[in-house]
Amino acid sequence: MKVEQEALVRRCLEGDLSSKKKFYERFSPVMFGICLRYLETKEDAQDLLHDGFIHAFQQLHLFRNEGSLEGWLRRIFVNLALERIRKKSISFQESDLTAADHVPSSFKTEEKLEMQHILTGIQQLPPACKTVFNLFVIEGYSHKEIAHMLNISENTSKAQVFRARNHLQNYLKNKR
Amino acid sequence: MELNRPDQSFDELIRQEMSDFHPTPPEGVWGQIENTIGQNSSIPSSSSGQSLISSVAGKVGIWITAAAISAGSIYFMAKNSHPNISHDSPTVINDSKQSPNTEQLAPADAIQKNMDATETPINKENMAQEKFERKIPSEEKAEPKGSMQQKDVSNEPSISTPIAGVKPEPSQPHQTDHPVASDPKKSSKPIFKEMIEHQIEVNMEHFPEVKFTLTNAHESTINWDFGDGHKQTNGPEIIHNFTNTDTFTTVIKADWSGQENPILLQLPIPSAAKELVPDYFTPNGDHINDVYEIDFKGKKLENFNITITNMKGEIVFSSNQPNFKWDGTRDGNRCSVGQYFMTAQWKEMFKTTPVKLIKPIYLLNQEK
Repeated sequence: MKVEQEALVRRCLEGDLSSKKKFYERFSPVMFGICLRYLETKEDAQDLLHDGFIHAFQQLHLFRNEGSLEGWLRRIFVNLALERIRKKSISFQESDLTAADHVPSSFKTEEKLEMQHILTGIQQLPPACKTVFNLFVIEGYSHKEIAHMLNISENTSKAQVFRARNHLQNYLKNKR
Repeated sequence: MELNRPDQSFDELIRQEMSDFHPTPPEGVWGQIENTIGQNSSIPSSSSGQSLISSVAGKVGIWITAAAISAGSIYFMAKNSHPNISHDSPTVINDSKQSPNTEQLAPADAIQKNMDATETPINKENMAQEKFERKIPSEEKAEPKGSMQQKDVSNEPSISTPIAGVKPEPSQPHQTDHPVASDPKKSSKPIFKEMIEHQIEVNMEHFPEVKFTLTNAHESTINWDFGDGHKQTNGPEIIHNFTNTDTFTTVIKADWSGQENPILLQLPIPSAAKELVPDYFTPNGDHINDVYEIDFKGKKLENFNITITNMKGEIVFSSNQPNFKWDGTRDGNRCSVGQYFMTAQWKEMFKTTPVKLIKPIYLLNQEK
């Protein structure tokens, strides 16, 4: 696996377009998934997919083959997504509590969930919640790391995950 | 830190489900990328990579339906943006590190099929760079741009946050250094207004003056709306005198340029603060007002702490329990009659804004 990856990277670095295409085809589904999870619209996600790969090809010489290529790409895409979220003025319709925040969730995790519902559930989270939830639960960053990345306190990060989880659980309960 | 098993298993479930989320990218994106990177490509593309397409397509085919649905739903959601909420809800979440996603590598033969068998030596510069970088424990560093690869690209995306930065690889040894610490000052403020942290400070000596602070905002011109007809532009810290306490509103708005809605600061104990927090107590053993305490009317508080100091500024009592009781003694000795200052801080559950309340209190011998 590692050998193929190294060879693919090397060929891309040599400028071989067909290798770059292989590279794109190999990784674009996973990366598109990241784009869709973080950004609001499909158009934004598609745009990020494009820019992310351009960026990756530019920076590929910095990739060290000892790590996972996919992990490296994921970080690029997550960082670019955060960069976009940062630049974008996100419209908050209401900044106060909603009922969903108060409802204690009695979610049963034994039950099977459908990925499509989870995805839609994540996408409809408020932007701040969604970003932190993605970073913490799916990407696996710690609250400390998220606090640094977003320049917030760890408690805010925890609170956002808490809210996101409540929202998502309530959303998923209704989908059964 | 309290363990919260149901939350962990829920997170785990979500993570597992989403680790397989590999939607089919929209058509045409590669074409655009190719146009950008391919223009000055020195080596002409010979193979079409067709065999890989089919193998990848086979792998992701099952998600095509899901992706199509999701694309629709995203669009729908963008048009009907969800009502948002903003508060720092209290939470005890286990801080344990989540394990990153497992790798989803394509079948090895798919890539190998199109690989050139001949080994091309890496040039010395790259080797040197690799050796250098191996000594750095953190992951890939974002290096200054300017190597040969980048000259070919015209519309490069600008990234102010270093790519470096981010998650250490699961395969790598545990790393205690913070991965994004390399460039912590790049973003000066949180990316969402609702992540701005704030505090309300009420000094009862100056009541109804209230001090509002946006603790991690760095804007210099913030439009404050106090809800009593008074608006003012100031930095992230402002003192407002609610001259007419009848109009003491509970929501204060802070806003600046940008399309987001303003930050809402909630005054948790408006004018009622006066009655809620007693002015005096009489620790004389007559069972009336013998201890100093605050009745929070059953409200759930978090991050509570109170300190009571004497006129010299010495702390005579402190507690982090909202149901504290001060019996007027310090280390077992009765404190003298007179004035003291209490400083209490707390945040009400499900309220946005932490409160700091400063109030002079009186230790008396008998009821007034």
